[in-house]
Amino acid sequence: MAEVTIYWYGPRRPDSNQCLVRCAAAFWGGSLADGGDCFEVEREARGKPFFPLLPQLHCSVTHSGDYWLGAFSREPVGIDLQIHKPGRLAALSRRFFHPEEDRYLEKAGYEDFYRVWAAKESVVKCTGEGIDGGFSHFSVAGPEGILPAVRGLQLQFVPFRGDYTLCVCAEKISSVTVLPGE
Amino acid sequence: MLETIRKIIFEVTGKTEVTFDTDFVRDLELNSFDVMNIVCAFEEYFDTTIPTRDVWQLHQVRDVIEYARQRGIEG
Repeated sequence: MAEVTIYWYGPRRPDSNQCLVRCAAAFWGGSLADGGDCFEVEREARGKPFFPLLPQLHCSVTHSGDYWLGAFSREPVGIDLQIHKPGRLAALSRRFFHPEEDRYLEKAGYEDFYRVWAAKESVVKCTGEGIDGGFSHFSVAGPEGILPAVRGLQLQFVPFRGDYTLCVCAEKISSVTVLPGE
Repeated sequence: MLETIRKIIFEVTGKTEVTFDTDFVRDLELNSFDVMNIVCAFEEYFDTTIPTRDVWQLHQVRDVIEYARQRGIEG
């Protein structure tokens, strides 16, 4: 079961790698006083960050609007934040979503567009396949709405700010804690 | 082509600092949604389709210009 801690920075923040290192130290309980070498960050081929010296530490990052968020857990985790802003929602849905998601959104008036997007992106971040690895090949929505789990992974929407949608994905989520970054 | 790309990026994101060397993620801090939104706008403007697998190879404005040039898309 994944206990997930999400740290946020915004609107002013250090660069993404500094945010990652600070949050990893806060989550893992380590110190940065000695240079924080154990929190050295690398990225997989599709951009997912990882800590080569701490293989049990999993993380996922997202940024949207004024905020940067990092999710940390001892299990693989994916996170996505989306600010709600005008866009070609119908065109994006047709172009990048699974036909089942597109059908649901068209029927529902695209009200859940950002929930679908955040859910899908959190899934591909959790698996590490990235957004180009088959974003349209799976559906997070059925005829009646967004599914609670997909491909054996649980989806959990987390309240954040009024005009943002935040979704967390892991195999099984036991808790989600949201904290300001240090 | 640079001017057309500037217009599309401004229309979608409100960002104005766009040169040949601009990196969409590093310099403009765009996320996946922003990039996909720009792709849709680009496809509408030029009445073309960019395969999704190609989208993530286009990191900088100069990559888009070169990509368009190779496919005979003129802005």
